[in-house]
Amino acid sequence: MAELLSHVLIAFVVLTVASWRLEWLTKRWVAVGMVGAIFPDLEQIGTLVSDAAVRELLGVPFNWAAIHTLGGVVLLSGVAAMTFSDERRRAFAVLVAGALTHLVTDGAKMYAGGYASAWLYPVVRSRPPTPNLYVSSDVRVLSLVLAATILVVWVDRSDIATADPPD
Amino acid sequence: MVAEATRATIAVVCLVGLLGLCVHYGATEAERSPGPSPEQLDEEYDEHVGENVLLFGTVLSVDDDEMTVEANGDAAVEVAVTGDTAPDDVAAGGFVQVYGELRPDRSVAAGEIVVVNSHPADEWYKLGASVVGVLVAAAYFLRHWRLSLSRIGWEVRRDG
Repeated sequence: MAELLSHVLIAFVVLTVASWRLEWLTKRWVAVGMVGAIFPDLEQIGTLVSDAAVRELLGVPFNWAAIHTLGGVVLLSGVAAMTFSDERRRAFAVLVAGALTHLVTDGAKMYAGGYASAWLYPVVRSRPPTPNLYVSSDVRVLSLVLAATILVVWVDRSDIATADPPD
Repeated sequence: MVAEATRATIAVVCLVGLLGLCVHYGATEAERSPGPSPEQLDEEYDEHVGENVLLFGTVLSVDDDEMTVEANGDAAVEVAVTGDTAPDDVAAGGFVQVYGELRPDRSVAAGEIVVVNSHPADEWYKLGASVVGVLVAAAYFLRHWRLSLSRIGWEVRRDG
């Protein structure tokens, strides 16, 4: 994973840009998407309760890494969406969207051997190839994301983003 | 009340589904894994000699043409990494990915090495930035939403 600050800000940037065309995607929904961007890394629960410990407890194979996949974030978003008093379908959609920005970003990470983690599981069960763009400790990632965030905030506060295109 | 029961039911179904997914992912791990896991190397190293392996591990030592790595997983196993692609930008305590062929002398002839953390301090950078990321997301979320006990769930903060 890249560090979570980059992931949260990438979700903010992507959803804010989308909000320029989607009227219902207000700032409060962008905030929900930013929380969704954290979901894939909830697989880190494995550092507290190891796969081996759960395997021993349940007597079946087990791997927390499934949380860091398409199927994992859809189900986790389903759980989280049910904690909203209203508009749970919208909450679900935005949580999944935020989580997807995380998975797609991680899908471009460097892996020895050239194949990323199986982030499209269970739709695609194999590990997809990665373009090997960065490693998680690369400070240039966060620098680039911070620059994009500042640009998007500036455009969002100006009239450029919502101005009607010329005829 | 019916709505709350339905919400709770859906949440439980999703949670059980998530645990089921973790079980299935664990059961099908061999399909995705290029070579043996650290646990398998620990228990049955000789059976996997000659296979390609992808290891994630902490660098224990580095010298000119060899690096010793403790591959992390359910078990920790120590292997020497050799090959002409050995990186010069990693120190002991760093974290690397190694892909290569497993040799009989508890070593890997590395075809490719990716330096994830050059130094132990890189891990602290990631941890610190991640904590800030969680705080940013939580603060922005709570600026717009509040927990309602009467309606049992998150609702829009009208003063936000």
